[in-house]
Amino acid sequence: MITIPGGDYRIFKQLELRLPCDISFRTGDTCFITGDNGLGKTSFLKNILIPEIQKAIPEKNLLLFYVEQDFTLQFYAIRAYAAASGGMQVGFSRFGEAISYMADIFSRFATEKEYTVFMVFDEIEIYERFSDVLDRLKHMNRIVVMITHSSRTLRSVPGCRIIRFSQVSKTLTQVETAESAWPDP
Amino acid sequence: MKPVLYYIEKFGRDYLVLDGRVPLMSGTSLLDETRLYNLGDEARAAVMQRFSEMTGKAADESLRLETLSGGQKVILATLIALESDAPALMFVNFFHALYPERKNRIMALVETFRSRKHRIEFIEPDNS
Repeated sequence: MITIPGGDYRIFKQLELRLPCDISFRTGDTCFITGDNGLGKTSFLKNILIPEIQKAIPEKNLLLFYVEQDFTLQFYAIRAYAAASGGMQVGFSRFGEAISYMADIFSRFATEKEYTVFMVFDEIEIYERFSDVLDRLKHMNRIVVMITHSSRTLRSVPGCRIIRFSQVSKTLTQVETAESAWPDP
Repeated sequence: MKPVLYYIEKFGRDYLVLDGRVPLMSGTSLLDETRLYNLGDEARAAVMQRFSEMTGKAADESLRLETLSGGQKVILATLIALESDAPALMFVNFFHALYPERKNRIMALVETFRSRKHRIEFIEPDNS
C-alpha cells in the first residue's frame, strides 16, 4: 500500500539513511522499528514515512494515527478536542487515556467508512500498554509501525516485521528489514 | 500509568523526580537546562564530556535540545540529574527510550553515583 523506495536519504546535514531495498507497508502489517539511539528512527518516521502516507491519503482511503515520541502537545490538543466535542464526560489527565480516546474514535470512523488506519507509534509504551492499544483497534483494517526498544514488544506480535537501524558510520545509518520475529534471548 | 504530577506530588519532598515522559524542561539549550538544576561550571563540563562520550555527539553549552533524539534527551537528563546537588533521585518511566545496550551503560554509570547520593530509586512499569 505504501512503499519507500530503496536508496540514500539525507535527513540531516550530518546523517544519511541508506535503504538497500524498498520497504513496503501493507494492510495487516505490524512493523517494529528498532536500533540504537540517535540513528534517525524518529526522523525516518517524520521526514520519510509520514509524508508518504500523507501523499497517499486521498487516493487510498487511509487515516493516519500518529502518536509522537513527545506526546505532550498532542495530549493537550486531544483534551481540547474532547472537551470541545462534548466527548469528555470526565476530564482525562493521563496520556494513556488520551491515546485510548483517539483509538476509539479511529476505530469507529474506520469501521463505518471502511478506511485503513495507518498507525505510527513512537515508543508508545511509555504512555500506554501497547497490547491494550492494539486491542482497541483490532477490528479495523490497519497497518502498525512502531518504534520500540522493548524486546517484549518485539516478540508480542507473531509474524511481525523488524526494521532495524544500524550504524555504518557517524554519518550513515543502514535500514534493513527482516520478516521474522525477534529471536528469543 | 499515573500522571507526571502524581510522582512529583508524592515523592517531590524527598526526591528530585525525573519522568521519562518529559525528560528535558527548558526546550532551549544545554546551558539553560543545566541552569534549571543549578549546575556550576565544573558540573556542566562533566555533563558535556560524558554526554559526548556516551552518544558520540559533540556537546557544548549552546547545544540545542531540539536536535537531540529521544534517547539522547534521556541520557542528557540523567547526566544532569547525577551531577546536580540533589541528595536523592527518583527516575520514573525513564529508560524506555534507550536501546538495551545503551541502557546498560547508563545504568552502570548511575550505579557509580550511588556513593555520592543518599538514595537513587527507579519506578518502571512494564507497558510492553
